[in-house]
Amino acid sequence: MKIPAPPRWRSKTSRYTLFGIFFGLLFPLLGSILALWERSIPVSLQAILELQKNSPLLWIIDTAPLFLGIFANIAGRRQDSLLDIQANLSALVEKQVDEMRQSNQVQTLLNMLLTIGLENLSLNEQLKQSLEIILSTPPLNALSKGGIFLADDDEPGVLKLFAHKNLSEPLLNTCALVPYGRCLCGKVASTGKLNFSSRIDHNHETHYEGMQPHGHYNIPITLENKILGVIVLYLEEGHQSNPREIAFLEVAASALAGIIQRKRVEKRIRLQGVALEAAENGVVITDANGIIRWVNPAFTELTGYALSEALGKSLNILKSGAHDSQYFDDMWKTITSGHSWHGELINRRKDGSFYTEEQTITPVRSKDGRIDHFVSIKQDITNRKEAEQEIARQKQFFQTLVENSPVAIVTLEFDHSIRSCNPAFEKLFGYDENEIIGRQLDDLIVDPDDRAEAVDYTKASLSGEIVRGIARRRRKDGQFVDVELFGAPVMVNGKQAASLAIYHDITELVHAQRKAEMAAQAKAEFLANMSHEIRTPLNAVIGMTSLLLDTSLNEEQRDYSETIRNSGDALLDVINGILDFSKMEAGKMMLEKQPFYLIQCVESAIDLLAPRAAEKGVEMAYILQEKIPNRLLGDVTRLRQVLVNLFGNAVKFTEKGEIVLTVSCKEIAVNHYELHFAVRDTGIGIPPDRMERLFRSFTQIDSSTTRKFGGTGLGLSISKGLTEMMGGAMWAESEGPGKGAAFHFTVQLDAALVTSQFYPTGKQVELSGRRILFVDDNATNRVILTRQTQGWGMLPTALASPKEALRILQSGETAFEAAVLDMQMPEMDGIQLAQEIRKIQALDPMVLIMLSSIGRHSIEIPEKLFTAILSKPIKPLGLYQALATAFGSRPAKAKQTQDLSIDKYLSIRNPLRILLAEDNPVNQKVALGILGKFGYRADIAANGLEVLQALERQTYDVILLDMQMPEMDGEEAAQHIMNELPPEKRPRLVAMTAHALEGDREHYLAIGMDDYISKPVRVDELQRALEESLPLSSGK
Amino acid sequence: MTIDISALEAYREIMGEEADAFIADIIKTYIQNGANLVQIITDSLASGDKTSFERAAHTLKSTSATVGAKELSAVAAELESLCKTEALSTLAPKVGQLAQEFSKAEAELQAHREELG
Repeated sequence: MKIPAPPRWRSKTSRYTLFGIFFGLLFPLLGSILALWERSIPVSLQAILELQKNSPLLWIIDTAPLFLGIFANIAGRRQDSLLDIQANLSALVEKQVDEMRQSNQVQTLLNMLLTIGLENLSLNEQLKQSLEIILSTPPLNALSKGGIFLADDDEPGVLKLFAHKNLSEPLLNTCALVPYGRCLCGKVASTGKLNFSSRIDHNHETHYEGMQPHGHYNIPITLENKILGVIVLYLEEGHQSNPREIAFLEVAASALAGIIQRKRVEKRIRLQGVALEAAENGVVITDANGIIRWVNPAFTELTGYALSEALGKSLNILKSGAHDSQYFDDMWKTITSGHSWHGELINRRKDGSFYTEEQTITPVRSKDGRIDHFVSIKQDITNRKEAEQEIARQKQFFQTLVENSPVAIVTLEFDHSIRSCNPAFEKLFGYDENEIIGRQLDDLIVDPDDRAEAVDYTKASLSGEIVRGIARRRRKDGQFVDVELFGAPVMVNGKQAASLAIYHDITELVHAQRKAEMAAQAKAEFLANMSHEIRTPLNAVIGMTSLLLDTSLNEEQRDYSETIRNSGDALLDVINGILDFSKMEAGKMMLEKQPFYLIQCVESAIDLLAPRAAEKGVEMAYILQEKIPNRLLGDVTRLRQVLVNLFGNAVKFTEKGEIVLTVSCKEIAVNHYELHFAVRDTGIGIPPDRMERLFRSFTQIDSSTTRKFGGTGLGLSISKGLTEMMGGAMWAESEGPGKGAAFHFTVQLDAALVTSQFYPTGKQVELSGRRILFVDDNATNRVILTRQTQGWGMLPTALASPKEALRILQSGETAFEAAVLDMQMPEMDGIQLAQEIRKIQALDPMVLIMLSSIGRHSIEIPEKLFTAILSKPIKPLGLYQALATAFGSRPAKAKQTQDLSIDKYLSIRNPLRILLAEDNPVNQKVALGILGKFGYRADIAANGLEVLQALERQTYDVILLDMQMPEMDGEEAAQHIMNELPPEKRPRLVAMTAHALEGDREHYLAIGMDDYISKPVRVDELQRALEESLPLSSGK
Repeated sequence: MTIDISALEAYREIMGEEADAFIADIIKTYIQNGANLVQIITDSLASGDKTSFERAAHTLKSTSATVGAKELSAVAAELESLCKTEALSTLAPKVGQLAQEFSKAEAELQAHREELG
């Protein structure tokens, strides 16, 4: 409400005065005019002035305006002062009414602020509404612009703008955060004093875009001298502050302080409540009598009682009866005396089940110091308890195991000292646990000789390795025990805590093993002896029978002798089989690794059986796949043995048809091959139900087979064992009885890199491009011949029918350069066919080669009919040589020197029993090799003693005696022999010395030796020495 | 060449087809046996065992001659006769020479054996 300013001029006074003056002027003016009219003088200014001068009476009249003016002024003044008084009075009344109204409004505003504080609103909303209310207060509502900043507990020294009204965007950005001390708000925050400014002055540090002139109130919001925030109000420039305004704003600020504080407390309480609600541990609040006043959800989860169910009940609802009353009395005593109680309780859930909890009860005192509540925090430890019990149970279990274990167990610390041991350990080593704990394990039970090895074991196990081994350990009484030891780290949480050693007494086992080994050794030795003992006389039987057969015998004698010879051979086979079998059983079978030609191996096996097959009229053939390396490394003797065995069976069980070997291979590693052999026959076959018995030792497919065909049943099982030793396998196939059988085996062999023997593979210059005709009724042979000659680059035609062959030759369709004819063919035999061919080609005779089976040589073959005659089975080398020779250009002949100077028949002319006394394996081999070429099989003695022992067992005709041998040298042995045996029973003694010295010969002859040869042994010298020897029986 | 191959090849005539295998076998045996003998000689040198020293030297002399290792055979022969009169310890350099000769012979023989297949 505006109070009017008093006017400078009192209006009534001036108006009255002017009126008085004007009215006064009328009198002189009127008097003059009347006077003039009277005198009939026209009215003019000059006339008036003239009149005035001439009439003194008029001068009095002229004073009238002055007096009238004065009177009017006085009257006006009076009137004016009356008006003033009236105006002042009404202003006063108005002012008082206004003040009363204002004070009422302030009160209303404060009430509104307090109401806002009580409303369930967010602090932000409350502040916003409060600001609105403050700004609506006149005269602050002119701009209605301001904000509330709050201090932040998280960021001390900074004000944050919380609520605002009508603040411009740039201002909001600039003043979102205001540090204490900066600009007006900051200054207020740091001083705590209200600030007023009527305009933008130097204190107003912050300027922003679009800032208008204005004034400020900055009011601190404080509580107990702490700044909670600042209220900023914008004023019209030039606003005048008054105490009433300030008082109002201060009250409003303290109301806001109340609101803010209340919110903060609320928040803290709410957080605490949330914390309690969310706690994993059960929380119960009871009153002083133990009546439940509050529980949290974890309590409900733990006990099954919901808050609503638990409220007002005694804590006794949880009692399980597991604790006596004394327990609870003690607890009660503790907590009522103001102390916390902590302990374990077994309680009962609502559903009756038990659980174990760990409980802490804390008494809560009221302000007067009385205990009025208890807070109990419960943690379910049932799982922990169960785990503890499980651990204890397991510990017990392991303890029992360790205590009762028959094996000795000891645990070690990191310094190799003993931590504990079990009774078995005490028993095994004879120590008492008490006397060894803490002592070094390796000092106690290890002999100094074994120490290094034992320490290695201990170290390894302590460094986390698992070790095992067989060792010797020492008992307390000094006795040794053989143990299998086992060391292992004991890991706890991934870290090694100790280590464990286990000893298993294997003294008995070792003893038994040694016995078994000795038994096996004895068995092997026995077998070796038997082999020698049986074979020696058997060889004599066979050899002598052979000699006998060469003498003139009558039919009956010859028959008997042949029976002896055949039985001897059969017996030798059986013995060899048994020996091989026992060797294999004992794991003593050794394979050699020597280079050999596969084709020689195969052919020699076939050669061995071919006569028997030919006798039965069974064809034998083989096909080698081209890629097979012709020279391999392996045990050719054993491989041949397997082949001979399979061929032998095939011949034995095949009455007609053919036996075909195919060999294929694949390279399974560089230079390492798996060869697959398959022997197929057209014999009696194998019934399916007998298949599995095939490879079992000592069985044949049935006992009738044994009766009919003979045999030990060892052959296949030995063969199978041999192929397995060679890295392969053996199996059989048969379509059934009467349908033949196929025996397969594989072996793994390395190829020998260097080939020094010529073998025709690939295209051959001599043969390439030549046409050749094969005539053979046997399909297998046709395939073999075709494939083989194609390989050499020839152009073969193979025919089954001789007549067809003749037709083609007669027609002259094809110019063949050679023909290979089988001897036995149904239509026409090879000789007839050849004769027919020769008739056709009388002028240009082609190369004709005949194939015949061994054993059929009795047939008369006309001379010069054939260029060459080859025996079956077809051998590639033979065929190649025959063809190449026939075509006139001799190929580089294979290095096959057969020096005939060696007398292969020496052993037949002069059969001798020879003992070779030579300790050195090299010289043994050389001597045996040469003797073998003469046809002799010598026995061996490695020293003089063995010579004497051999002589005790057997009679020898010649002893080749190395003079320098260990144990007993040749000279000494010779002395013994000469002393013990009369000259007629004495074998011929041939001294051998290396690098004969001058006079050696004379020396040895002088001491009674019969002959002398020097080493290295020379063939002619040896032959001479042997020729000069005679069998003892013939007399010396 | 330390090895006189003709010593071994002489057997080829007699052995005929089996010659390769036979010679290879002899070489194999010789290398095994020879290495063993050289070992015995060095061991006996250390232990002072004259008897085994002499016998091993003798045997090595003999077998080396068989395979044509002439120089090795000569060194072995020398050792065989020297050990009868001299203290073993004085023979150490000779034994070293022996071992060297043996490795040479071994290498050549091995190569020859591989040639044979």
